[in-house]
Amino acid sequence: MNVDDVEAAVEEMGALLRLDGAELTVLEANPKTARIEVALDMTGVECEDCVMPPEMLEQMISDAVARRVRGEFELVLRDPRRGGVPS
Amino acid sequence: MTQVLTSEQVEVAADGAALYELSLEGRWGDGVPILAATDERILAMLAATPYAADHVIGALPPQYGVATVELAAVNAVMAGCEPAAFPFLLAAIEAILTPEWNAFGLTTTTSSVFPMLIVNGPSRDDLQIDYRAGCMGGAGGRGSMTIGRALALCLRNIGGQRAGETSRCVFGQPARLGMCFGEWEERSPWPSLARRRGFRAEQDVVTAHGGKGTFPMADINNDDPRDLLHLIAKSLAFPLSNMFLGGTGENGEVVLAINPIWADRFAAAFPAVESLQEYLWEHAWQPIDVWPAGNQEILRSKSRVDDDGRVSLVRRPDQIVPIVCGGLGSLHAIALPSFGESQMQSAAVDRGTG
Repeated sequence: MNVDDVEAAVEEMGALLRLDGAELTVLEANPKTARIEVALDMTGVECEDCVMPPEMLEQMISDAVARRVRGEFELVLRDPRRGGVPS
Repeated sequence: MTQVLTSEQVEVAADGAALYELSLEGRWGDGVPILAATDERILAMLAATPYAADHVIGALPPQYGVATVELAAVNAVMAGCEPAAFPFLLAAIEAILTPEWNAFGLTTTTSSVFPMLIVNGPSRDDLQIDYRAGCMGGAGGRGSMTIGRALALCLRNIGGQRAGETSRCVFGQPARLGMCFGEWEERSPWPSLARRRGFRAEQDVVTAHGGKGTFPMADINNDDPRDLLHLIAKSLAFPLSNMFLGGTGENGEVVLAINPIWADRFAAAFPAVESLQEYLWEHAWQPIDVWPAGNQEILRSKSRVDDDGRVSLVRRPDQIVPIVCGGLGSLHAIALPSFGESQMQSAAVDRGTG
């Protein structure tokens, strides 16, 4: 897993979310564990319903990563709408 | 070190197909094409170890052929090992020659059992020892495919193991072509197998388990860790397991390969691996009335039945050995059932670098 590729994939989705005031950040992309952790920040969002639902967002990020990264990975999305907001 | 090679030499046309035919005719192949063990390739293997070519590792059963480092190197070349992997083969041989592994019993039995090699340590990626998706078959890493195969060739060509002749195996198993995989240590919530067996994290370690096969388990209906582990424990204790056959249940280990997703789930309930083993052990039993009268009599004579009429798979929790490996698809676990009269052995890889 190339960390730059993960960053690029997440940025691909992040650019779309930024139009609604949300931010996506890569918290972890560890080739040794194949674990990718991404946080959604919605503090700048005025219309929560305008941001795609967590499950769909997670799937779209996962698809974007899969297009660039070879092999299996585990994606964890920290989304404030379903708890687990990173400290 | 200047090495002098003494093995018998054969002349063959420089053609892979001709060598393959010769290996089949001479019965020193395993039915799959082999690489030519040229002097140059053997010497490259020897250069990866601190040992002289004539250094004796031990006598390999069933016919107790003397395994020198040179003969091991010949078989490693034929199997396709790269030189950096050769010390892993030597460690594997050392492990199975430990008396408690019971190499004679395991190489001659009617059982399908064969050495299954579990690798820990920092060289797994460099040597392509598979520990992620398809690690027990299908991933195709060179280390996984060749180290186990080299050991199988050593047993065949040095030890004289031949199915239906010196080995009375009834079915054999796919792992008899060689089985070697790693533990996904970075995804394990518990200390690695090697660490639990007293080795340091920076050491490469080969553990040989006398495994009867790969026993698959799956569940898509329950995410509760205790429920899942209960079902796994009951599956491990299948009535015709070798552990119920005739022994006391005090020998042998059942390896339980857990995928990383389930490992995280189990670790939330059992942060210490010992507590996980204890829970599995507490549930890995069958009621005595599962067996017909004749079997019950034998189990009772071996003191295998407790006051509540339960027959435990093994005597101690540490005989159930969890490891973490496999893909991220979740849903599955694999058991490597024990032969019984064999104790898992580990050896550190020695490259002579201290």
